[in-house]
Amino acid sequence: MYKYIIRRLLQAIPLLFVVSFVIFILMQSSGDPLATMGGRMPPRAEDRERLRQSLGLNDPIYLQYIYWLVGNDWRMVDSTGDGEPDRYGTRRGVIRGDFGTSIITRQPAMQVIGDRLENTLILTMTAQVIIIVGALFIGIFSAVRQYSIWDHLFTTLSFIIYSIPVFLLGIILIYIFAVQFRIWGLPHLPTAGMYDPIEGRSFGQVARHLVLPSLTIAFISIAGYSRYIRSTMLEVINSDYIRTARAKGLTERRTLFVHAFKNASLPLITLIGLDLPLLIAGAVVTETIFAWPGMGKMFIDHLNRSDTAVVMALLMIITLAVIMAQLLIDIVYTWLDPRIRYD
Amino acid sequence: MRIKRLLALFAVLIFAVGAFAPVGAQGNNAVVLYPQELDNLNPMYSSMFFMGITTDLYLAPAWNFDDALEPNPVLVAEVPSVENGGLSEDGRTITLTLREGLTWSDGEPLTSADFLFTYQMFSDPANTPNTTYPYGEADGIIESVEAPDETTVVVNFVEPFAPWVATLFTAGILPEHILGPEFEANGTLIDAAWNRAPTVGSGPFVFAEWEIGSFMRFVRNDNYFGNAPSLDQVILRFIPESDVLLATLLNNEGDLATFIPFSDVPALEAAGLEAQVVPSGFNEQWVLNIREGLAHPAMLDVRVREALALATDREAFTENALLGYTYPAPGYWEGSPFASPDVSAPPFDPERAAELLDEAGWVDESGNGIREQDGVELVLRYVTNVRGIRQDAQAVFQQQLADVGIGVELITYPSDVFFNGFAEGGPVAIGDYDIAQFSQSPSFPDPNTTVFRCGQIPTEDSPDGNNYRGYCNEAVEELFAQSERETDFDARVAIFHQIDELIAADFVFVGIWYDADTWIVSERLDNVAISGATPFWNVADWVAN
Repeated sequence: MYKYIIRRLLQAIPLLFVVSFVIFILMQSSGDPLATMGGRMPPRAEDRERLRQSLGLNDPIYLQYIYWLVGNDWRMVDSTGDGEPDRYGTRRGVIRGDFGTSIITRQPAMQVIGDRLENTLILTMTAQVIIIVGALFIGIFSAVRQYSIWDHLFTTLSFIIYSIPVFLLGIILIYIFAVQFRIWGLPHLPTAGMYDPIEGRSFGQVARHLVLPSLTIAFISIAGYSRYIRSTMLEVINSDYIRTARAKGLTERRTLFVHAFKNASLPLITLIGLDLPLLIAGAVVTETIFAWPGMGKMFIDHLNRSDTAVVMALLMIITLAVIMAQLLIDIVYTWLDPRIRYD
Repeated sequence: MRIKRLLALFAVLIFAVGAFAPVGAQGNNAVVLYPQELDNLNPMYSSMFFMGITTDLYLAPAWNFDDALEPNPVLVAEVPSVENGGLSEDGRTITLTLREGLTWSDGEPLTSADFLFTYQMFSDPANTPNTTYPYGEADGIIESVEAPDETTVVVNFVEPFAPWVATLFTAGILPEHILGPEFEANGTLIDAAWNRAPTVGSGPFVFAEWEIGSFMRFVRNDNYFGNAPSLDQVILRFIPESDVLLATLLNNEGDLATFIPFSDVPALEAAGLEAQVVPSGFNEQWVLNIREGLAHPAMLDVRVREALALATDREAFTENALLGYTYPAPGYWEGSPFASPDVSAPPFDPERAAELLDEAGWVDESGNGIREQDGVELVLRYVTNVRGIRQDAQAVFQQQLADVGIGVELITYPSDVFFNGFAEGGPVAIGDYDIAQFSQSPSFPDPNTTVFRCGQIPTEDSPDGNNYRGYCNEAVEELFAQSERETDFDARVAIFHQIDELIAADFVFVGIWYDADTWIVSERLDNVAISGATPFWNVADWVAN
């Protein structure tokens, strides 16, 4: 098993190089960071040229990638944009832990990301808990009470919710629970943000602001997850060993949750594993709608302005998270199903 | 039954969390909603509109502009003029006399040395500022800046430079006692912590907190040299999604916002919010390409360009798509005193348009509905960037132009491609279009612009120019040169009226709509008088009820 884990980790290294190179090339075609610089008018051509030179954007792509990877402190660069190299570069490169500087905020990329990670985890982990609990409840209930009125209701609702775009669902929830509830004189929820800046950050404030975005994410995922759980549970509870368990006189609860559910959960683990990196990546659309200051919103903000340093750093972290999550799933499989062996 | 109980529990939970605390803008504060988060708080490192308007909160300029767009002295005792001796007769020297007793928020004196430092930082390329204009050596505008004593700043120009009032020391003065040591130690301000946390400032409010991705808090500056601000705090909240920003305003969670689509204004007014429409200098327009060899040959004929204006019902478009909150801009300087009263928007007159096209020799001989001349069909490239209202305009005007026999190919680019410069192959910059639609502004509130100047037509040898029309009229050129030397305001207005009239006659500008900014202000706030140039110029006077 240990050999397997070490082998998988070693295999990840060339994969990370390939992924980083491909993303870097793609980033170059995502737009020009100096086209508008966030302004209402394009910058003057002379300022754009000076900045392009001093920020190293005039270098060939392969050289920019090398600088990103190993830094540029080994050669002279033009820091003033006058076309003459005047001092040694200051970048140390990703392999020495320097992911570069954001062209927008002029901060180290990892600091930009670090500021948002906690916020995203608050949102995505809350949503993930709601998803797992909700989907398990609905999925198992629908399987056990197959073709009951509740099963039909959940099935219909699942299809409706699953087909609503997350953007629309978020806006609908805001207009109902924030705007209309207030108009009707009911206790209402805030529209956006993570807490009221005047009230300050507190558990209660974050909890109130968390309700709508976490439910927006959860509703759609529950709809999808619960269908998987329903079908795998149906398959398992109709199998021979469950009949045997019942014949042995085990309680229905023990039969379902110990014998049936453990075997039915393999596909669920795969699904959760695929979603794990999203816990870090954040929910791009939901965070943007609800102005939740997380990684997803940051990703969009920086991608829109072609901020290579931050986008690259974030995508590399997500790539690493995907690799680690897949490894984790493989390990969990062996525990859930002893027939699976890697050695 | 269990499910019903669970659903009931869910509803109760939402209500319980909802009842935690009241929601909304409240207390002695103002909550301003921005659709974009600021990138930086050092004016050297941001080109963002929202950053530009925020500096008045925490960083005092020499002067800002009031709601009538008149210069309002802040750090200076008087705005320089020939009458008060601040501006030399030849227009080459400006003397700023600072107010007595100016201080930074930490109690340190704010002096002419801070002005000198600001000039040095903006003009030093080692700082990699977003723009060096107008301070940079390469810009060739300023000869020297001197600080003969603590309250006097003297600026000497290479040539008379009339646009100084809108460009010089208006973005906020930098604190030398904080940033000077940083610059000496590192040779650049690029990494200064102050850039993102300017805890020492000079405005009526001082920076207190930036919750990244969420909001920024400014608290009252107790050492402010002007009238003490009435509000305790000004909070900027960042809400990128326009529907949610609207909901946040309707929900009383914000007091002020701008960039509100005209279509949302009726709902906000019905909810008791006030809309203030202020000139921003911007006018949505057709930039008509007359660069020979790049533009369609028909575009070189002024009759064809006039026909384009006459064939399109821009009045009806503003009435229907923009709910009548605006109108077609007659000229480039609409919304300012520099717009000539004798220039009016061309009317919708498709018959006259057809006559003009016939006169110009563009007729539909083949009967396919498209006019042609010498085997060349009159099909024009109409380009814009991705923005719903612009694409709506494209579709409407395409139909109207087709009605008079002009074919139009609609092309839409992402913003970063569309606005690229000549060197980067931007479609407008390289002249790969006939009609380009976007919003442009002069150095508002100053009327100066280079987009009609002969020397600004971009070429391989001189790619920096921004005269994308390729327009060059010697009479206009001479008037622009005169305007740069003219220091008398009224005389300058008269010059721009002539420029406006000449450009209107040449039909290289067709106004689509007057692109004023709409600010929404809650009834909770009093004394808010938004200025189109510096919206928060009187933020110290704002009162919350």
